[in-house]
Amino acid sequence: MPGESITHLIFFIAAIVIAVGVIGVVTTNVQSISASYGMGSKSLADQLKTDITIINDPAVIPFPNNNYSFFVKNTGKSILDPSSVNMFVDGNYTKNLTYSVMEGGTTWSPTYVLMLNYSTFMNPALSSGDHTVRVVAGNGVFDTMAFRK
Amino acid sequence: MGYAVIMFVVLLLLSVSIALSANYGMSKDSQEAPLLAENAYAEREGGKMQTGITIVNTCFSGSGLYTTGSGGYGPYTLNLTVKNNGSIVLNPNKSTIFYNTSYVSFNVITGQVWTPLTNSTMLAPNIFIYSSDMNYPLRLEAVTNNGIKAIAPTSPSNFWGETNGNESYSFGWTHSTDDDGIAYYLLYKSNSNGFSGQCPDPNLINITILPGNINSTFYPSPCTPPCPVASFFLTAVDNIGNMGIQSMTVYCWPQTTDKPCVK
Repeated sequence: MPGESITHLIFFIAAIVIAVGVIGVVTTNVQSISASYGMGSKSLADQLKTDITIINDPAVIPFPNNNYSFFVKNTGKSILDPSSVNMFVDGNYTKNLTYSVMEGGTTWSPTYVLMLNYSTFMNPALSSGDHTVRVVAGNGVFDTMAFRK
Repeated sequence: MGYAVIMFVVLLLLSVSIALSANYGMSKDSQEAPLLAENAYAEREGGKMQTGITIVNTCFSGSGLYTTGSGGYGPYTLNLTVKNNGSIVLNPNKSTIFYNTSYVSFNVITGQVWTPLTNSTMLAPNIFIYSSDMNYPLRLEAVTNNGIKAIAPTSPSNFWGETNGNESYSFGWTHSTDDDGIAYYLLYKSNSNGFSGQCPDPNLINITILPGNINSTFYPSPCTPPCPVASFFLTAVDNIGNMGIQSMTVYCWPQTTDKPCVK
């Protein structure tokens, strides 16, 4: 009988040790999955809250000082970082993109308008005809507009 | 042995439930955040589908007269009356206006609470019209807070007129353009004092509707010499109901012979 009790005790301790190990492994993995899911959720939530709209009259794009001016309105609910915006004209990345917030300041708040300047000194000149512009916010949300030159 | 296996299974289930309950607390926010954002997204996109505006009236007020000449005229204030044609309340203060493709600041005078089917009056000050603009098709665009556009027809350009003796007037212009098509033009006639620089203009004596996208008209208005000077300008209205910027003004003095009107 004493021998049987000792065996049970050994098995019991072994079961606890294994179970604790399993707890560690499961908890770590679940937390890791949870964290990555949380990050993915936050990213998705950011994207869903973000919306931008190119509001130019597509028939005529202003062209002061060899810059085509594109106006983009923040039509979402998030404050966006204008310095992280990218622009593509006819699929080509716009180099040396400069911007200004029309309402003043440097914060691109909801309903504010961002003016993006496409310099023909730094980028290809646009030929007469149809073109497309795509503006991409820092979190990947974008808007595209066809326009004529 | 059987006892140990049962213990192991019990402890294993316990560990998993602890891990999952700990995770539940962490992930609850993560689960709710996209749900809330999804609701906001649905609300926003639904709102866009229920949004529509129309520029129902445009008018310049301020000093000077809108005629040709050297240099610039102004400053004018562009008076816009914009109708909320949608089914949701809009914020006119968060709208955007482009005059001649330039971003212009403005003040909202009426319609601060811009409910469906009501108008909001917006005044954009410090508008200058340069001699180079006189025969140029000027553009106008209004954008709602949620990014819905109303693009008005271009102004009729190269507007000219002449008197046919003291019997009638003839006018001609270059067509306005608009993606939705031109529904009609409005020909405004003012009395001998010219246009007052006020909106609405107390000197205005007649508005004639000219259906279709025409580029000339004949305006019978017989008078007995010496006839008074009359001034005219045009605006275009598209098939949506958006009104564009007016043409330049011409001043006509009917006499016994045919005479060109003065720009």
